[in-house]
Amino acid sequence: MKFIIFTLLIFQSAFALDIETKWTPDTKKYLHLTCNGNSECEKFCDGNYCKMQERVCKNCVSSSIEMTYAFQEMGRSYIRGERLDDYFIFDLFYTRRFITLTSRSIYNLIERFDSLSLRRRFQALCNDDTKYPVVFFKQNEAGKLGEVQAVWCEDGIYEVNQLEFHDLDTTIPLT
Amino acid sequence: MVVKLKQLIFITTLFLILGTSANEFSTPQFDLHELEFSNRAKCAVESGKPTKSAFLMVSNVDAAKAIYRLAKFQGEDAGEMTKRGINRFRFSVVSLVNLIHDTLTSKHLPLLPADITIADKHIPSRYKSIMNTCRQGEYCEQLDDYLADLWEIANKNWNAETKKAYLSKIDNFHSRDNYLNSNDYKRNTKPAMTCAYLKRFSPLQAHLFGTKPDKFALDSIADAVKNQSEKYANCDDFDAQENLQVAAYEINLPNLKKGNIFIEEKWLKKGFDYWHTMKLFLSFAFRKAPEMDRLAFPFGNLFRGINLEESVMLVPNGCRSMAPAKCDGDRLALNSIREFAKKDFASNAGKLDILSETPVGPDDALVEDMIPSVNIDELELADHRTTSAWLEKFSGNLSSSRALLKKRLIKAINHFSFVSKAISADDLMRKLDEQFDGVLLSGKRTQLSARQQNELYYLCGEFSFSQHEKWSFIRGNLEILQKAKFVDDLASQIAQVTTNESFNYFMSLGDKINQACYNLRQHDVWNDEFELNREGFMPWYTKKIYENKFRSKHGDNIRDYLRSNQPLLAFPSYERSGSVDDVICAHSSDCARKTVEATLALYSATQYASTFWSLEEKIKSPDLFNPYAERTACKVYDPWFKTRSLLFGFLWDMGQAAASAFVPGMIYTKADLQPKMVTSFKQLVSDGKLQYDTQYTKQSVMMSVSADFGPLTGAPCAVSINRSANNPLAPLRFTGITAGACSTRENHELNVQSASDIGPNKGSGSSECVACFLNFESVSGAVAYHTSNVGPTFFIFRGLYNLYQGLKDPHNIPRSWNVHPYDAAETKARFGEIPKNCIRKLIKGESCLQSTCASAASDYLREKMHGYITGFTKISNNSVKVWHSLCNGQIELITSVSRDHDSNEVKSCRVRKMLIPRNCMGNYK
Repeated sequence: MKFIIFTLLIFQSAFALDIETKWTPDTKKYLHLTCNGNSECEKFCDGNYCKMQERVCKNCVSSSIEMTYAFQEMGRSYIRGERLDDYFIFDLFYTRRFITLTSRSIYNLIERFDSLSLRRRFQALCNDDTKYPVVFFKQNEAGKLGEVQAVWCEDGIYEVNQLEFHDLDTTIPLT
Repeated sequence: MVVKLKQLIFITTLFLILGTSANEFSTPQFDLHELEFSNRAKCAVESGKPTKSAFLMVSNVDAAKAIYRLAKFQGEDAGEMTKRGINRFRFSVVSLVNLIHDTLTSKHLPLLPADITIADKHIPSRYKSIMNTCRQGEYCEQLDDYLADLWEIANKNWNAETKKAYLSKIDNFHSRDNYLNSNDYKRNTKPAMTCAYLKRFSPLQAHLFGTKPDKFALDSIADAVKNQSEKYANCDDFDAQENLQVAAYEINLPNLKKGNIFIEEKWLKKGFDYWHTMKLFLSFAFRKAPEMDRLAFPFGNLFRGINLEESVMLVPNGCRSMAPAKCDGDRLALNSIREFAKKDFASNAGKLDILSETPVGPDDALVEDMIPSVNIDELELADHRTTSAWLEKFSGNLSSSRALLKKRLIKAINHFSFVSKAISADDLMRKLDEQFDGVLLSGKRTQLSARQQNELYYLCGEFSFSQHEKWSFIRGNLEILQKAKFVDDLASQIAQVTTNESFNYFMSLGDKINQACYNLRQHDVWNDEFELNREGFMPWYTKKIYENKFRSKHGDNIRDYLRSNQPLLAFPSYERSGSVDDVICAHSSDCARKTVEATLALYSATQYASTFWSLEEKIKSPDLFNPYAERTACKVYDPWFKTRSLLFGFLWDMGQAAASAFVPGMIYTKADLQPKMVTSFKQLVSDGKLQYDTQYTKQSVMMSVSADFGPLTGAPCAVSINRSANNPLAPLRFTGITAGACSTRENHELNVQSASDIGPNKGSGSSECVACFLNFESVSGAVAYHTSNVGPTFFIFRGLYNLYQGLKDPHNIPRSWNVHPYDAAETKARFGEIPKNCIRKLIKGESCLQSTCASAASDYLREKMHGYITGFTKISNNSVKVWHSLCNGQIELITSVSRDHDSNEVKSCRVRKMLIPRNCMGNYK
C-alpha cells in the first residue's frame, strides 16, 4: 500500500508540467511551458522553460459552427478519456499543427469572456482544481480547428473525446 | 524597468509603422461619380453587366469582440484597445481592396476568369484545371498555392513587364483577355479607385430611390453635393466613423473613356473577372499576404484568424452586378439576403421562408413575386438617420438569423450523431410499440390513455406531413439531402454521421412509422370521445399547419414527462444538471419526432446555405439593390419582352387572335412530368410535353403561349403531382395531415382535412393530376382549364395577373438616365436653381452651363482636379473665373474660342492656361 502511494506521489510530482497561453503585443499566441522537473518537457525545452508559437487559427475569430460547438459542448459532448503519457502532448507540439482553447480564450466570441459557466465546462474535464485547463485540438489542413485531442490538467494530460452514443445515459440497452 | 523599456520600444515601433503605412498604403481619395438611373426593365438589363461602383460593407463585430477579449486577457484598457483595433481592421480591409485594385490596374496581377466555361475568352490552363479539380465548398489548397505564387510576384519590386514574364511562367495568361490594360482608362488619368466613408444615404444615391430624375431630384442632388461633408467622410477619417460595429464605404472605379464603345465592351468582358479576382485575392491576402503585417499592425495575427467572408460584403451600387448572371440555388439564396434589410424584419421573421423550419426555398420568391419594385428605396435606406444605423440593423438581422440556424443545426447534428447510432429504426419501432401498449405494431386493441392518443396522433401526423410517400408536401424537397454535402462540409469536425446517413435513417424510420400509422384501426384508436390537443405538435408543425395561431407546448409536455420519468437518451451531464437541454430524447416518440425536426433543420440550412455561410472563402456580393438580377437570370422576367412585342406588333396581334380561338382546353400536359421538375412553358412546348388540341399546329400554340403568357413562357415552373381528380382547384391546400382530398384508399386511412378533426374518406380517384404551379401556397384567383377527355389539368395563377399588370406600366421598356452630381451642382451654382430647360440635358449626363467657355472650364478643372466649381464670378470668351470646392482662392481659366466662318457664332472654346492659387495646387489629380 505504502509503495502504491509512494509511486503515485512520484508520478504526480513527475508530471508537474505547467502550461499557459499568452499573447504578445503584436497578437502572436504562445504556449509557455514550465517543466518543473518533467523529463519529457525538459527534453523538449532543453531546459526548465520554453515557449512556442501557436499558428494562426483560420476562422477561429468567429462564431462559426465549429467554434460555437467547441465552447458550447465543452464538458458535455467533449468529454475526458484516459490519462495519456506525457510525450503525447510533445508529439503534438513537434507537429506544430495544434490549436489550444481555454475558458479565457479570445476565440470565444459566443459567451462572456471567462464566464463562470464556461470556466465550469472546461473545468469539468479535470478532476483536480485546475483553474484554466488547456484543451488541445488538431489544426486541420485548411488551418482551421480540427479534432479534439487532449486536455492539460495540473495533474496530467488526458485524452479528450467527442461523446459517442455508448457514452450516453440511457434507460435502454443500446444497439 | 525592462518591461517599461519594452513597452516604449513597442509604442515607438507602432508609431513608426503607422507613420510609414500612410505613405505605403493609404485609403484612396474620393470623387463623386455619375449616377445611373434605371427603370425596371433597364435595371433588369443592367444586371447582366459588371458594376463600376460598389458599397464595401464591413462588420467588425467579431474583430472587436476578439480585441476586447485580448485587452481583458492582457489587462489593458479594453475600451481604448478595442477602438484602436476596430480602426485598424477597417483600415486594413479598405487598404487591401485598394492595393489589389492598384496591382490589377498596373498589370502586376492578372485577371482570373469568373466563368471558366466561356468559349470566346482565353482561360489560363492551370487556373482552369485547379478550378475544375477543387470541389465546391471545400478548402482548396491548390488554389491557395496558386494565388500565393501570383501574389508573391505581384508584390516584388520589379517593373510590370518583368512581372508579366514571371507570371506567364505560372500560367499561360493572355495579354488581351487576362489583364486590365492601363489604356482602358482615360488618357492621363491614373486609374485609381476612389473611396468614401458613407455617413448617410442621400440624394447622392438618388438612383436607388427613384427612376426618372425630375427638377426636384436634380435640385436635391445639387444641394447634396454642396453639403457633401454631411454625407461622406474620407475612408481613413476614423473620427467620423462613430459606429463601432459597422462601416459602409462607397468605392468607385475610374471612368472608362467616354464614347468609345470598344472600351465599354472591354469592361463588359472584363468587369466580372475584375470583381472575381478582387474577391479571391481579398480573402487570400487578408489571411496570407505579408503586407497585412504592416496594414493591420499590431493586430495582424489576430485578424488573420477572422472569418473575413462573414465580416465583409461587397454590394453593387445600383442595378449592375459583380458576378455573371446565373440561375442557381446559391445565387438565389445569396440574394435572399435582402430580407434582412427590411425594417419590419423582426416582426415578420416568423413568416419568412428563410427562417422557416419548412422553407419552400429561395426559388419560390422568384415566382411568387415576379415583378417586384425596384429603385424606390426597397431596402428602406431612408428610414435610418445614418448609413451605419441601416447597416447595423441589416448586419444584426443577418447574424442573429445565422445564429438561429446554427443553433438548430448543431442540435440536429447532435441528434443524428447519437440517436441514429444508439437506436436503429427497427429498435425504435419496437420501443414505440411498447410506448403505445402494442397498438402500433402488435395489433393490440388496448385503450390508450388520452396522453398516449395525443402522442400517437402527433407522431403519425408529423411523419405523414413530412415523409408520407404520397401525401407529403415536402418529401420531394427533403430528397435534396440525399446529395447535399453542405452540412458535411460546414460541420465536418463535429458531425459523426453524414447528411446522407441521417437522411437514410429518417427515411427508414419514416417508412416504418407511416406504414404502422396507415395500418392502424383509426376509429378504434381515436374514438368519438377523443379530442386532439393541438398544442402538443412540434413548433415547426404548428407554424406550418396552424400558422402560429397558438404556441406549441411540446417543450412543456417533455418537461412534465421528465418530472416523473428518466429520459430515454441523455448526455451524461444530465445527471448533474437535470436540465432538459441535456436530454436527447425523453421517450421513443420524442426520439422519432425529433428526428423529423432534425431533418428539417438540415434541410432548411441546406436551402439557404449561401445566405448565411461562405464555404469557398470568397467575399459575398449579393445584388442587394436589384431584385431583377435573379429574375432575369432565371428568365422569370424578360426586360426586352415589351420592346420586342412593340417592335413586332404583328406578332402580338396574331397571338391575340390565336389565343382567342383557343379557349378553353387548349393546354394539357403529359403525365410523365416529374414532381419538382423545374421547367417552363416554352420548354414544355419544345419538348412536346405540353399537349394541345390536334386541330391546332404546334407553331400556332407556341405563338399563343408566347403572346398570352408573355415573359411567363420562360418562368420556372415547379411541377407537382397530386392524387386528386375530384378537386383540381384546391389540390395543395394543406390544412391538415394530408394533401387536400387525395385518396384511393379504403376505410381507416389517416385522412384528415385539418389536424383537429378526422374527416371521412373521399371517393376514390384514379388519375393523377398534374399541375404546373408557379406558386404553391398563395394560390388565389386561379383559373383552370379543364377537360375531361385528356385528364391532366393546367393551372395559371395570380402571377399571370400580376404579370399583366406589370406589363401595362411604362417600366417595361428599358430606359436609363445619367446625372453627374457635379453637373447638377455647377448648373445650380451658375443659375441659382436648376432651370427647366436644363433638365433634359442634365439627365442625359451632359452639363448645362449654357456657355461654351464655362463648360470648357468645367471639363478642364474636372480633368485636372478632384472636386467641382462652386461659383462663377466671370464668364467671357477670354476668361472664366470660378470658385472651386477644393480651393479657397479664385481660379482663373484663360480661354480662347473658335468661331463659325459664316455666322461668327462661337463654335468651341479651349482652355489655354489656368491661374490657380499656389496653396490649391496640391489638389491636382
